[in-house]
Amino acid sequence: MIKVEHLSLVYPPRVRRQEPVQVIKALDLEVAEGESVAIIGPSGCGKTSLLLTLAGLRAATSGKIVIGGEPVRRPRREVALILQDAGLLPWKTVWKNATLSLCFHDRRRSLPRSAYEQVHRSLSDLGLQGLENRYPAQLSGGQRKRVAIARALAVAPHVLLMDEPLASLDAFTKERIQALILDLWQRQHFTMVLVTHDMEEAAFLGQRIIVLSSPPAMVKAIVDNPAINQPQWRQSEAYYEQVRRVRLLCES
Amino acid sequence: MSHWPRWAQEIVNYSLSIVALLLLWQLAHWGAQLLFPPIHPRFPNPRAQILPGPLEAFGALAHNWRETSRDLEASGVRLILGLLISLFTAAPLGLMIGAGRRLNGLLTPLIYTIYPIPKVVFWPVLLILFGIGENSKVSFIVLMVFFQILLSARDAAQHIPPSYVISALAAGAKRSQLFWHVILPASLPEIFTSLRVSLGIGVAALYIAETAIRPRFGLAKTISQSAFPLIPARLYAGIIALAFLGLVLYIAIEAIERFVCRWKYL
Repeated sequence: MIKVEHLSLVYPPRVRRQEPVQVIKALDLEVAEGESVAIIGPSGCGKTSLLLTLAGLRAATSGKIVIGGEPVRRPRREVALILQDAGLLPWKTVWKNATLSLCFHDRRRSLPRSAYEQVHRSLSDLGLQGLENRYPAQLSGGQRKRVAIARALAVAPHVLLMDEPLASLDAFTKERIQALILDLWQRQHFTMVLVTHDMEEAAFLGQRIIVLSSPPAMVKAIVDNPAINQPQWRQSEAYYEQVRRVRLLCES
Repeated sequence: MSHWPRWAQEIVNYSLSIVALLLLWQLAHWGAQLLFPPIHPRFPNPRAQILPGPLEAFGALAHNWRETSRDLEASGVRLILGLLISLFTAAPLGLMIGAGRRLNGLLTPLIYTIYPIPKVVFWPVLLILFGIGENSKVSFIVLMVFFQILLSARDAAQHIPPSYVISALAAGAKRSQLFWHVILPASLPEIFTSLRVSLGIGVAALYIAETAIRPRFGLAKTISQSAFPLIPARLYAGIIALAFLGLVLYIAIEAIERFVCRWKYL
C-alpha cells in the first residue's frame, strides 16, 4: 500500500553560510494495506517531515514514495492528514470544517448527498452531534481533535496520516480518543500511519512500531505489536511489556 | 452592567465618553475665559474667543444644519468612495503579493520605493489627470490610503499560521480555494484594522483635498472658510460634524467586522 524507497529529505539553508539540513536519510519503509504503523523518535528527527512528504505536501530530495501503486507528487483525496494542532479553520463552523475536504473536491456540486450524510454520522459517532454550528474557539481541545478526525474521515480515505494528533490533551481525553481511533480503524479498514513521541500511544495504536534515530532520520528498530486488536489491550501485561521495549529502544 | 446586551453597553460607553469630552471642553472654555479676560468691557480677548463653549458650537451647528448636512453628505460620499475603492483594490492585491513568493519578490521593492513618498506631492498630478471636480478628491483619498491597506494585507497573508494552509492543502484545496477559504478569511481581521487606521488618514486626505480646491459642499471647505476670517462657533461646528462623520464610519466598520469576523469575538 505505502512504499517508501530510499527517501532522503534535505532542507536548504534558511540563512546564508548555514549548512543544508538533512532530516531524513535513505529511509526505506513498507506499510501493508489496512495496517497500522506508529512512528516514534526523538524531537526534530524528521517525523513530521516524513508525514508531510507522504501526504504529498513536501517534495523528497531523493527517493520515491508510492501509495496504492501511484507515486506521490501532490496531495490526494484518498490520503487524509491530521495535524498536531488539529488544523481547524477558526472562521468555519464544526460542520464546515468537517466537510472541508468534501467542499474542495465537490467543486461542481456533483457529490451525492450520502457523502454529506456520512459526515453527519461521523460527527455523531465522535460525540459531536448538536455542535455543528459552533466555531472551533467554542470547543474543548478534545472536541477539536474529534472534528479533525471527522474531517479526515469525510472523504473515506484509504490512508490516514496522523502527526501527534493527541499531543497537548489531558491523559483521560487522550485515552478516550485513542480508543476511538482504534475503533474507527478496526471498522473502516484504512491504513494508518501515526507519528508520535508518546510510547504508550505507539504501543496502543501501532501494529508495528518504527523507532527512528536522531536526525537525520533512519530506521533504528521495528517492533512488531500485532496484539492491538485484542480486547482490553491497554490493561494487558503484554501492552506494558511493549511500552517497556519501545522505551528501551528509544533510549538506547 | 455585565448582564446587559452588548449594544446597550456600547451605547452607555459611547454616551459616557461623549459627555466626558463635552465636560472637558466646557472646562477648557471656562479656563480660557479666566486666563484671557476681556481687553475692554466691550472687546473680548481674541485668545479666549478661539475656544467657544460646546453649547455655542452646537448652537452654530443647529443654526447652519441645512448647509452642514449637505457638507456632511458630500464629504461622506467622497470619504466612503475613497475608502471602498482602496479596500477593494489594495486588499486583494496585498493578499496576492503576500501569498505568492515570486510576486512578493517582484513587487515589494516597488512598494517600498513608492510608500515613503508623501502622497501630497502627487496632488498636482491628480488635478491635471482628473480635473478640479470630485474625481481628483476621491483619487487623492485612494492614493493616501491605498498603500496602508496594501501593506497590511500583504503582511497578514504572509503571517497566516502554516497549519491552516497545510490542513487546507491536505484536504485537497486548489490555489483559488486556498485564497477564498484560508488566505482571505485569515487576513480579514488585519485588513479591518488597517481600514480603521486608514479612516483617520482618509479624513486628513479629505481635508487637504477640500481645502486645496474648495468644492461647493464639503466639511473641510466650511471649516477652512470659518478659520479665515475666524468665526469660532462655526469652525467648531464644522469640526463636530467631521468628528461625527468619523465616528459613524468607525462604528460602521466595527459592526461589519463583528459580523464578518464573528469567529474572532467568541
